[in-house]
Amino acid sequence: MTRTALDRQLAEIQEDMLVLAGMVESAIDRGIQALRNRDAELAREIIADDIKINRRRYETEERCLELIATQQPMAGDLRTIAAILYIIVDLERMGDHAEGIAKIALMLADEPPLKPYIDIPRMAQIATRMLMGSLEAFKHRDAARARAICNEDDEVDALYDQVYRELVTYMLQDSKTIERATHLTWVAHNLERIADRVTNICERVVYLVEGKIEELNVSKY
Amino acid sequence: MTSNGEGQGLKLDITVAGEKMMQAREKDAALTQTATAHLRADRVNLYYGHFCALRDVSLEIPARSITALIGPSGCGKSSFLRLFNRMNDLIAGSRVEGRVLMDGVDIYSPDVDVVSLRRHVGMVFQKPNPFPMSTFDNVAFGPRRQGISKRSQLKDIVERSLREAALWDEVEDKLQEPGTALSGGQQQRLCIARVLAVQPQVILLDEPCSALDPIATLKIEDLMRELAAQYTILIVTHNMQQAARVSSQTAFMMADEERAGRIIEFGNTRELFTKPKDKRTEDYITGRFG
Amino acid sequence: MSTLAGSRREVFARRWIQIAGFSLAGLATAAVIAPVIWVVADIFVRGHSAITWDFLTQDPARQGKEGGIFPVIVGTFYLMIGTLIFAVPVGLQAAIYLSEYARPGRLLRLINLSIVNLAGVPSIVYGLFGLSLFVFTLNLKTSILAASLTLACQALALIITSSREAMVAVPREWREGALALGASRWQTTRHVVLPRAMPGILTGIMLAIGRAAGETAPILAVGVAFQLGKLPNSPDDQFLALPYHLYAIAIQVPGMPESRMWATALVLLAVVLAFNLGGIILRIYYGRRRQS
Repeated sequence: MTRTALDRQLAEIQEDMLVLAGMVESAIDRGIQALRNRDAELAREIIADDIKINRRRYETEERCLELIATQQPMAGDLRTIAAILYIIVDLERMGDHAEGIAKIALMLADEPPLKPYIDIPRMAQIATRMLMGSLEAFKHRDAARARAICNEDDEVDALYDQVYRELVTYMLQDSKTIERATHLTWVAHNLERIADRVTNICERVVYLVEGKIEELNVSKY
Repeated sequence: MTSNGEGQGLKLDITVAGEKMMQAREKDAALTQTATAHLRADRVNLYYGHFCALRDVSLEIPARSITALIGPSGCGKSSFLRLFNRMNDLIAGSRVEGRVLMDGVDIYSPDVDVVSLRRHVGMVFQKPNPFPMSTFDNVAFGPRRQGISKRSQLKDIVERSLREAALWDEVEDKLQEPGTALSGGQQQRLCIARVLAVQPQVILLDEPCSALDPIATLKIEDLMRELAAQYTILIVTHNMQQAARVSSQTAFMMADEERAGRIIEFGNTRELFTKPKDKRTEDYITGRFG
Repeated sequence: MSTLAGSRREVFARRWIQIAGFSLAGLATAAVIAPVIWVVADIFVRGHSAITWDFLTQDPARQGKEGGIFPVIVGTFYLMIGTLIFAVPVGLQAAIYLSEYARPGRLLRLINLSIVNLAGVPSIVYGLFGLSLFVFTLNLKTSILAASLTLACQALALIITSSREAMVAVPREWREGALALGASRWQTTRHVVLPRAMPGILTGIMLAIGRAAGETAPILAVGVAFQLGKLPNSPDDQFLALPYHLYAIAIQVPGMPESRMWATALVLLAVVLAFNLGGIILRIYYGRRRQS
């Protein structure tokens, strides 16, 4: 069986990517936790950890380029490496969004919560589930699953609409809530962006398996 | 005396409109005469004695572009290449079934003159093989055999061919030196110039760069791209990256259980190398053969 | 580091085996060359005194005891030309056919082998064959014509073999290259193979003719003369030749001055050596041209 070096390096890079995804998932989870518990220290931790996410992304990117230069991957191998290169960009951006959530958690840490957090954590839950699912689909080269995950994005979008409307209502009723409500809107926005980025990942998985780029997240607007 | 110039051949047409149309038609005819040939193999079997070297091979090679043939050793790529200039005829006991067509003409039909065919379909070999003569005589060899003997004519042909082969600048002041004194890459370009001198329509290349260093290889690839504007080019290569770099279409061949060569997949180069349709093609391209 | 040095004994043994081997080879070479040099030197020493201008330009007188060997030299010269005329065209064309056109296979291998063997047939057999075919069957009379044809038969085998080998040595790639350019088989042979093979062909011819000059047995059988009144005027005439003349004066004429015998031998040797040397010089000349 030839190309053992290529296979081994590809496996290692794939592992790196999965680790990166894990770091992002953790950042999202902890961010919501910091928000709920008004935990300023946790928030600061998450913000500091973002550097690690960025670094890992660049390291993985470099390893991808080295593999291309030294192993000249073709066909399926080439699509795999290309997919990984794009996915880690999306993952890093998701990390930035998670850092954004943590920053807002830091800002809101000293203030009483505007309302019990129900929908926002729900959004986060779906988003992280989608994220890990998309990486499972990558690992198992499962295009059908990738497509299915994209559909869940609709749920996140719907929740975002709901959260937005609810917060606007608050703002209209009481102008003292505007600051907090705006920040919370931003959190929801970040989560919605995270879910969107997961659909990008799913598109890459489909490309990898089937060889064609398909827009999987057609906006309903 | 038609008024719209229709009809075959050079019928006189006295109307002005007809004449204009006639001129246009003649221009078209002249264009198609210099247009390159498009090649086709139609369910070809090739036998060397009892051994079947190619089985049921069908392929359509478009004109004025580069088509690459890839595949593992012994899959019949060179045999297939040599169908088109009938060099297989030189092997005793070789026999071809099916049709091999150039511009619709079956080149294996009895009234085709092989010698003449080989002027239309040129070949460059794996190891550069300049004759033991001067560079000038090498390039002039083909035209001389065709009967051209005037020195001035030959000089023009030699210069034109060497320029086309991107070799003129390097040899213009040493045309009388032996062709074998050139470097490997230069020798190969000399062989290409030699072929160009007889003004073929098709150029067949059998692993032309395998004996050359990487820089010479890239130079020849550049040359091939330029030539593809005017000639139909078919290249056999072991080097997949080269096939990917240079060709517009690629055919992947493999030998079957009885060691007869078959075409497994044929398609647009970019697609074949990013998403091949056949698993065997994918395995070969990614190097996971065997 | 110590493993690189090799065992002392091994190195020692290897060195001396090498010296012994090369010395043996050198001795063998000397053993072959020495007699040749000795013979040539001996003949030269014994015969050079009798080589005078008169000797070379006058007719023999008194059964060769006086006078010169001019007509003999002329006779040998005519024979060589005759052999050349008959052997070279036929031999060269046969070689071209065998090398370029014949279908490879068992029959061809058989033919090639037979020709190689023909070169080893004893020359008296050629002589008798010539006598039977040319003199008796074709009624040619004992003449330069008959003798040339006979010698040509013998030279043929040599010329075909050496020409064929010279042509077969031309690399296949050049033939393929020429054919792929739209040259016909003959054009390829004429413009690519033959020029390249020519040195080998010419050398073979020179050697074959040189050998023919020295053959005694074939011309003996076909009827070389010993004494003639005049120089041969046409191919139909009888002739004199050096090898036979030498034999005759050495064995058959009593009272022949020794120096004349050695002188005749020297002239014959000179002729044969001249041809062989010519062949070698040609080979060197072409070899140097090829390298440039």
